Amino acid sequence: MKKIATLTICAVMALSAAALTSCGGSSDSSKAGTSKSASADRDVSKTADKLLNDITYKDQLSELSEDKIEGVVGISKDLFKTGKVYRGSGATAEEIDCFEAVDEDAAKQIESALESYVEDLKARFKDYAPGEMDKLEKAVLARDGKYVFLSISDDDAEAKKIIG
Amino acid sequence: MNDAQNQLKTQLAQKKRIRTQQGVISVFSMLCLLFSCVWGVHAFGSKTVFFAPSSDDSSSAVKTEAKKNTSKDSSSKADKKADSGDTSESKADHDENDDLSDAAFIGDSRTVGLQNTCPYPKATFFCYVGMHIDNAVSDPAFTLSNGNAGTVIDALGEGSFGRIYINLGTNELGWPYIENFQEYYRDLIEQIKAVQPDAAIYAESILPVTASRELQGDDITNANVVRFNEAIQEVCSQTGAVYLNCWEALADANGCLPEDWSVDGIHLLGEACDKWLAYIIDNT
Repeated sequence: MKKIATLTICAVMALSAAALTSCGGSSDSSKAGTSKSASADRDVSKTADKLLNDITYKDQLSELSEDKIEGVVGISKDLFKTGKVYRGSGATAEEIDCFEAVDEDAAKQIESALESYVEDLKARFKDYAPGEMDKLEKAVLARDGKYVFLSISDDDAEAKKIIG
Repeated sequence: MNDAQNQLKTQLAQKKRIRTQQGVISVFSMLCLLFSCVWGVHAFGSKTVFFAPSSDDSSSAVKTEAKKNTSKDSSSKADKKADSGDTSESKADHDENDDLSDAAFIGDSRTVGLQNTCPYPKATFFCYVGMHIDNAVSDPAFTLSNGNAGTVIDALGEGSFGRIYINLGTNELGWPYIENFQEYYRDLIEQIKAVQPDAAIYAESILPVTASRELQGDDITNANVVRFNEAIQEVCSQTGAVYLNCWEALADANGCLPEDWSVDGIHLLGEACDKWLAYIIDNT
């Protein structure tokens, strides 16, 4: 009897753990700042909104409409299926960029473009607003398979946690 | 003896059956408890992860000021305007056919903010943080169609524009010699004319700053803004460019930018950018 009960409990716990893992969209174990070659499906829109809502920003961030992303961010619309970008008033370097690329190669191109973009921002803000340099030095840029995330904020630890 | 043994066996069998039933009930109770815990934790976690509080959510009361200012979509902004009785003009009040597809905006970080909030995806922006009047024509800050880096003049030359707007001068308010500012401004206009001879060139006034920003004690003051705007007007009269007094759309009765239109006293938030853009559309 005890064996049956123990086995049943173990089985239920295993099933529960599996259910939790499969339902948790943001529970990917990748570390921000690194790139992975395989990933589960992720909702970049929800990740972007969580970065917006769970992190405190000095600036007011506004969402760019998807038809403006190519012109403003400089990333070809052919490279991504979904993109969600929040930008500020120009007062700070704070921003959020989340993309689901069409494939991993496209994701690598987006990652590379954002990497160059952050370097360019560093050059711009260095003299203009040196106080923003700390955020730029701690910018979280991560690729997870075909997903790419960029967060520039004061709270890189929270951003890494959200991005996964 | 046999009867006694049979009775004992029956009693033992009954006890065993009762123990089995108790065991099964206990296991099911534990399973139910475990499921409840797991489901509860998961459901709570999902809400935390996936549902951002809306502006009327009671939890939004604990947000920071910056978050209170955060605009998430244009509809919520429109609702706020309607709620506050704001009768200022919005995109819908303007010429619906003007999609700004023939317009190019040149400017510094203030124009970057306008670009970020501008609801017209066909408008073209040549702007970056830290653009100055003296490096505007020499800084290869833009990616050209061939992939090379080029100046704003190179980039303008690749397109065809009917209207070109310049908003520069805020970063130059500390310049000691205003004549130098005017010289660079004239040069910029002449170079624009050379690559876009048919375009109307609008030199926008420098926009006001907030009263609190003036208190920081540097050269970014509204008195300086007015002085440099007079210099821009002179440049316009010399070059044939049109002076566009956007200042009047954003200055309050004291000539200052309202405090709640900016997080740093200089750069404009969404509502102020809407007014700025509305003024441009209405007056050009």
